[in-house]
Amino acid sequence: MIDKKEFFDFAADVLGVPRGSAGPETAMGSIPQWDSIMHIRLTLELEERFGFQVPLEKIAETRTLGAFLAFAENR
Amino acid sequence: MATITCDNAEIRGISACLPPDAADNLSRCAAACGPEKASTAVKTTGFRSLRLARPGCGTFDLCLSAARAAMRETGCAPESFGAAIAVSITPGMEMPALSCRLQAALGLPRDIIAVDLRAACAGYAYALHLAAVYAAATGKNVLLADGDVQSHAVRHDDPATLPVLSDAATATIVSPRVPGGVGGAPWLFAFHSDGAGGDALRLPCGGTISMDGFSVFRFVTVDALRFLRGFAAENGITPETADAFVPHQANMYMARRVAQSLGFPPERTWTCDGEFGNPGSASVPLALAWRGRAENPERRRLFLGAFGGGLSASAAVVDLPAGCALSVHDFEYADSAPEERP
Repeated sequence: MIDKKEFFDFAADVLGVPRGSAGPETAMGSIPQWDSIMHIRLTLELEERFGFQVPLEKIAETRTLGAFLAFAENR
Repeated sequence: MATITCDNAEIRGISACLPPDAADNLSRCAAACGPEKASTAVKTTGFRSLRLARPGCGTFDLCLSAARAAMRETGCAPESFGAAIAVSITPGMEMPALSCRLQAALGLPRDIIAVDLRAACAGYAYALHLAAVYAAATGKNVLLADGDVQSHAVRHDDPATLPVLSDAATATIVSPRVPGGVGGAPWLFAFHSDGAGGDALRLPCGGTISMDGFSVFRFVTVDALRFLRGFAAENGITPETADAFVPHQANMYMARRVAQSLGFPPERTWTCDGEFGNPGSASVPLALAWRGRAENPERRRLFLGAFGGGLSASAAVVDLPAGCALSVHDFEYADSAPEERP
């Protein structure tokens, strides 16, 4: 079971935004820190920290923290 | 998908030549792009260091060194060659062709086929297929030089390419083989092109390389992966039928995940472990030489998968025969003759 607060706090740390400001609606492009290069790092860091993998062909279209969380919860 | 079969060639040897200077990727990127972008770049690429050529050292110099080593180590004399193919996006000069300059510098016969090929990161398999055709057509050896000095065409404030693109050259010697004869199985090839997406990776003549990293990532993880899966399924290529997968080392994350998606675990995926960066199309033959030296010296059947500018992708299954000469050496500047920058 994923602790959602921990998940979003960790994502906020990776993105370099204040904890509490990142949630399921936070999306690629919605904040300047989440650009294309950060997208790959965010994917990699979330996968390592929470022990799941987004299928390779789905990474490019997984563009909200909520979508990442869904993969983490279904690992 | 059309799979092309070649049952008439074998690899005699592969020699790789690397610039001796290894730049620490983190500190180099931090100086150019700031510590935060540098940290992200190194984490996402998996490249700890990049091998970079000094100013004045070009693709020709590295290719010549690699070719001399390959000829020496395989014992192939200049007169045994029927063709020379050069693969590069940074040949140094638009004209004369890199292959012609290598032909003259190596003393290869003047009646050989000498031709350049530009297919960016997927280029090695394109050239290997052409080498097999030329080996069969001429009945002689073929020199396949694959190299780039990309660092001279990289913008030093570009966080997309600076932590990724490096320099290297390789020389593969392909020899004719009797079809169906002992010592090898047929080679298989397939190719994929999508020029509509070509703006994602550009190198204008005399300019610098630009990359829309996300578009390239999407191409690799969706289109190129589908292409490689289709090739593998059509030809029954699995970890049971191939000894290893050799991916283009665009970055270590993509190389590892593409291999995993094709069913090949890390120990059956040949890379250079992030030591040298992404030297372009030479990354596949560099990995063949680097890993092949240390692995079981019996004949190995290998699945090659590459993707990149074009946009294009290539897939191949080839053998490294027992006794194949494989080596990697550092370039020696004292022996070089400087050439023009790309």
